[in-house]
Amino acid sequence: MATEFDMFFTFRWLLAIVCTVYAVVCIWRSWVGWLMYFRSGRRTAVLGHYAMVLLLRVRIRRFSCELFQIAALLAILGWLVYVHRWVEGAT
Amino acid sequence: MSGSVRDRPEKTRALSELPADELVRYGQELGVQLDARMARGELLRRIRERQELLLDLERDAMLDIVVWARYPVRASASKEELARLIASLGKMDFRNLSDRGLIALARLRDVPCQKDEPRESLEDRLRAAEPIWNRLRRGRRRIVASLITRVVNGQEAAESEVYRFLPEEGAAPSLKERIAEDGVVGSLTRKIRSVADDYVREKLDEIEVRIDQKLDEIDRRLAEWRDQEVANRLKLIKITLVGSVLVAILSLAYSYVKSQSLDATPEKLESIPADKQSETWLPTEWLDRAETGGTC
Repeated sequence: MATEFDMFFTFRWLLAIVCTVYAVVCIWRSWVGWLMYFRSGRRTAVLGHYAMVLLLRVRIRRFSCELFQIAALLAILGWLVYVHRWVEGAT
Repeated sequence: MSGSVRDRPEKTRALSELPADELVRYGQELGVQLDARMARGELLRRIRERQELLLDLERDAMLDIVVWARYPVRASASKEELARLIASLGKMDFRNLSDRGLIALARLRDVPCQKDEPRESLEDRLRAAEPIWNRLRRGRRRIVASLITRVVNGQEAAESEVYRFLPEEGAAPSLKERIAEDGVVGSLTRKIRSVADDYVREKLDEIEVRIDQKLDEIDRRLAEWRDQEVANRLKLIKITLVGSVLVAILSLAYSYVKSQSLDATPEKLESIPADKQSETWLPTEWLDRAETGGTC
């Protein structure tokens, strides 16, 4: 069962895997860094709690425009992925 | 009561002279739902209705509400002062609130009620009248409060002791009474000490106010920095998504072209006239196979 080598398909998969791994590693490193910093002492622990309270006080309505755009882009991306299945399934 | 009624014509006159924005602010302070776009007559009518309601309400019932909310107030506070405090409170846990206080609260929140109505139905109606956003905001604040309490106190703080009113102004005995009770030197010493204490307290209050202002300023700047950071992160997410969408469009176009080319198998080429086959962009081996009549 020989599978056909497709350059673009490989590129697409590689791009998705590399980008996802890179994003996960960056976010993980950042989270671990901040957690270690906030747990490094009593004062920094209080600072961490304050930072959490500061984050909880974020007014979502202020970023409603950006969040709406992100939701729209996500919807477009989802639709494009679905259309891929449809186009490839038609062959 | 008679004083407030006697002052009323002056107040009414002063009220009609107020500009619209101050009218709105004054009405909102008293807990009236007002909009700056309302006509002036409508604003005045609603504020006067609220004043009528305040005249109608028992002061003790209003005092019950403030004590229930544990707001610091003097026992001699006026109805308007109490109404201002009540307008600013969003507490919805009606335990420990007297029946007359509950009815007064319902009337101040424009919830229709009757005097012989069961307490539970009135509480339900008050809860139902609360806007959904206020409910959500209260829930969010409860979470924040539990977090802060855990940080500050380590565990949930116990309910505090019995409510006490603020001391009344001029309630302290006069110098004459003190001299009569404690003698000249003792009373003067106490007076000087109390003046010094007052001065120190005033200065401490000033320092506290300045510290509070500074802390507010720091908090405001940190909030601005946080908003900027969140906005930057959202922008990065947006850019990433735009890139993903562009790659997806490119990929979709590629898939479409590929599917179209796969459709054009050598068998289908037989239907293309021989002179036109050379103009196609299909692989030459397919064209050769089509010429020889081979199959895939």
